[in-house]
Amino acid sequence: MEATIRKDDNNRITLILDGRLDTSVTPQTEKEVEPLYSYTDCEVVIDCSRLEYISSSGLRLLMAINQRCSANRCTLYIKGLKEKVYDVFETTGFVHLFQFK
Amino acid sequence: MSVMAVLSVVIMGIVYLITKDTMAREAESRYEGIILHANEKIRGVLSDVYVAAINNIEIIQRDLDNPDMLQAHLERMVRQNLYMSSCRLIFEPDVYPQKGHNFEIYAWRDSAGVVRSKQMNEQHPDFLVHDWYRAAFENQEGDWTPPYFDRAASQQLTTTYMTHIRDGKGRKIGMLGADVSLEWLRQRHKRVDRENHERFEKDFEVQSYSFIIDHDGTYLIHPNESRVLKQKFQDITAETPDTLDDAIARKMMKGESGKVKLLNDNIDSWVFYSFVKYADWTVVIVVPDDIIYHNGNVLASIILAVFFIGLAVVYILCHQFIKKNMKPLKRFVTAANQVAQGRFDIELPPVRSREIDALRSAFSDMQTSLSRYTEELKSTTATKAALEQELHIASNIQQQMLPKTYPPFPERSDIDIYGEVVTAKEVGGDLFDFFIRDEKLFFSIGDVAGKGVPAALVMAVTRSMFRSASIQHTSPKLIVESINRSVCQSNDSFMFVTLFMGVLDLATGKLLYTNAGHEPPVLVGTHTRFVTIDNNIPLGLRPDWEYTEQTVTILPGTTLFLYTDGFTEAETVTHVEYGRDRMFKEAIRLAAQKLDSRTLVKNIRQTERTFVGGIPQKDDISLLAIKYMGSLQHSHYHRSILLSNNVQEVPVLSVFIAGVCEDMQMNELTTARINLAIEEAVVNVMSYAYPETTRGDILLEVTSDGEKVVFSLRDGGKPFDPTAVKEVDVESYVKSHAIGGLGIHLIRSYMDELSYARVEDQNVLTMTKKLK
Repeated sequence: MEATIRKDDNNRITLILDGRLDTSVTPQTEKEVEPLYSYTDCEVVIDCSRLEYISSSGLRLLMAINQRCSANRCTLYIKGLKEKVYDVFETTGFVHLFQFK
Repeated sequence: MSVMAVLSVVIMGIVYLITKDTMAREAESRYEGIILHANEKIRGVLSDVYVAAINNIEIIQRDLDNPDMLQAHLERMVRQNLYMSSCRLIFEPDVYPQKGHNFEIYAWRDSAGVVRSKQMNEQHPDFLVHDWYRAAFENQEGDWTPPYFDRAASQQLTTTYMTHIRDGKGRKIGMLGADVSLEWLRQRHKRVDRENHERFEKDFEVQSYSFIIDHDGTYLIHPNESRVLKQKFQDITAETPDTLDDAIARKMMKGESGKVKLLNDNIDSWVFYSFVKYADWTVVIVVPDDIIYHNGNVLASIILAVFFIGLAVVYILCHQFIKKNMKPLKRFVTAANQVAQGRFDIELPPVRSREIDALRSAFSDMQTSLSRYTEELKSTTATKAALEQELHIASNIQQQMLPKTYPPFPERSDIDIYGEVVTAKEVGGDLFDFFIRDEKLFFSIGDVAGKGVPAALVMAVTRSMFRSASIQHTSPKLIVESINRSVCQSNDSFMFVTLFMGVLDLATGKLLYTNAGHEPPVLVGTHTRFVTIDNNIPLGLRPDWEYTEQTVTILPGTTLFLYTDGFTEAETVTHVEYGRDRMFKEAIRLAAQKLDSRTLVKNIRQTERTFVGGIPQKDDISLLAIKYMGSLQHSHYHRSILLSNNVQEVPVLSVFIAGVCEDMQMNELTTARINLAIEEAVVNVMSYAYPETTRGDILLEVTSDGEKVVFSLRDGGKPFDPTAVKEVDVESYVKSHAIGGLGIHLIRSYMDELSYARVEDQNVLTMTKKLK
């Protein structure tokens, strides 16, 4: 699992998730995304085009990111979800919690 | 032998040559002696006549005045000298006018030996005008005339010494001639030749002959009388093509003496020649080669013959002697051959000689010793054979004690057992045994310290105690303690036994075990590892020792592999141990092949054999594999994985699930869903079932009958029923942003059935997914 934060411009930050986000890697990923919380008043895009798998702990991480970003007055979008991962979002109702691009 | 023969031949060759040469020298000197003797004789005769002539010159010259006296003087000369055949006085003409113009006196010995004399006046005038006379007269000194045939008087070959008669004034007035007939010389030569022929040359075709030549080569004496005075030696030699004889002829003319070998009348001959001084003659004898060498040849041949006959006689005598003496030895050889064929009691042949008698007694001693040793050997061999027979029987009994029919439980599909013992000696100290009672598998493997019969006896006790104790008890601890007490009781020789004893619940896979100093078994399966063992002492040392009991759950498909230390301690020729680590690595490798127990045992044993490289094993080796198939009936598909309560094992789980889903031919979405549901269930157990920092096992079994897949999750943690958690309302959940209960929701969503049971202190969560 790799999590990469890319600053596209002053108004837009992209978080790229690559691989399997299961319970064993979630604590590590949690640390890796922390720099994201230093940005305020911008657009945060989570690029999931290379995300293979997500577990409930991964979903919880996404929830946490969403809350922290909202607190920073950032708008969070998720883009590029694969079908099998989108299936989890659907099953858990997370489709209602996020905006998708 | 051959060296002797060659040496003899060489020596005899030298003797032959020396003998032949010596004999030839002797023959040569004989013939040389003959001519020298002839030479001496001629010189002696001529010298006598010469001296007589010289001596009488004075007397004659004194009486010259009285011519009639002279006749008496001549008569006396002839009478006194036997070899002087006649003599004469010849005066120059007119010395005695009273006697006439010529005057000559002649004295001779007639055929009756009477000396007579006469005066010849005119009757014999020719002397004075003869060349030989004139030549002699003209000479200053007296000299011998060349031989001539005296027709006038003796009718014989004659030579005459002519010396001057001088008057008172020293004038030569006539000559005194002393005649010597060479008839005696002719007779002498004839006789010598005849004697030679008779004495030395009897059997020869060509014999020797001698002759005398004059200073100009004219033959004086020769066996062939026709040559005498008529032919010359050098004329004869000139007729032959050979030039050597011509050279010899010249040497003879020069007055030399010697000998030479040449071809005479086509016969190899030796020619000996000797020059006679005063007479200027040469005495010659011609001897054929054969005669010279004949005696040498004969003598040498005789010596050789005598030598070889002697040699032959010595050989025959030695041969007879040796043969006679070897006869007893031959009989000994026959006797020895019979002894060699095992007839030690054969009677030895009697002997007479002292040396052979010593041999005979030594031989006799050997016979006695051989008989004794053979008897001893026979009894030792018999004893050994009996012992080996007993050992063989003991080994058979021991083998019969071990389970030997495989598979042992052909009617059961939940257990697959295979074991084998390879003993280093005829009987060994290794044992294993197993049986099923009340759906529980009782098994043990052990190793008695030591080998051979004592170890086997302790092994037999241990094995029978294992059986009887296992009927009474179900707890390995109690069974092992019972065996220990029995072994201690009967253990006078401080033998001890290491033993691993277990009771496997075939329904649940739960294994209770007690280890008494034995090697840790290996669980060969998805998670291959050693069974953890407590340090208990081996059996037979302390009757009151309290053994501990341990437990482990064996997953279906896992094989419990047990062994004795003979296996891990097998060494290569350079003493490198096969070792427990190597065995463990091989077990991991073989685990992936999911082998049945027989194949596993054979394969892992082969790795050890290959490693040590055909070194004969030193210790007994026992291998026992117990494969637990699980209790689930009617299940065609069965996979399982044992995890610990650590989220880091989630990726392992993911791989396992991916494998199962692939086996079930699920699509990508279903695979992802199943994966997620199982992860959520497992993570749930990992997070909540066991207290933090406490290690706990989580067993996931997957079975399928083709209709559905059943995931059965077991853990020994605190009771928790996830199905009892209230179904979350996704809408409200999302709205409330609560995050608990998400996992169970996913499980419910993705699985078709979900059930929970608390079985034997374990949480069992069963999740079912329909395949169609």
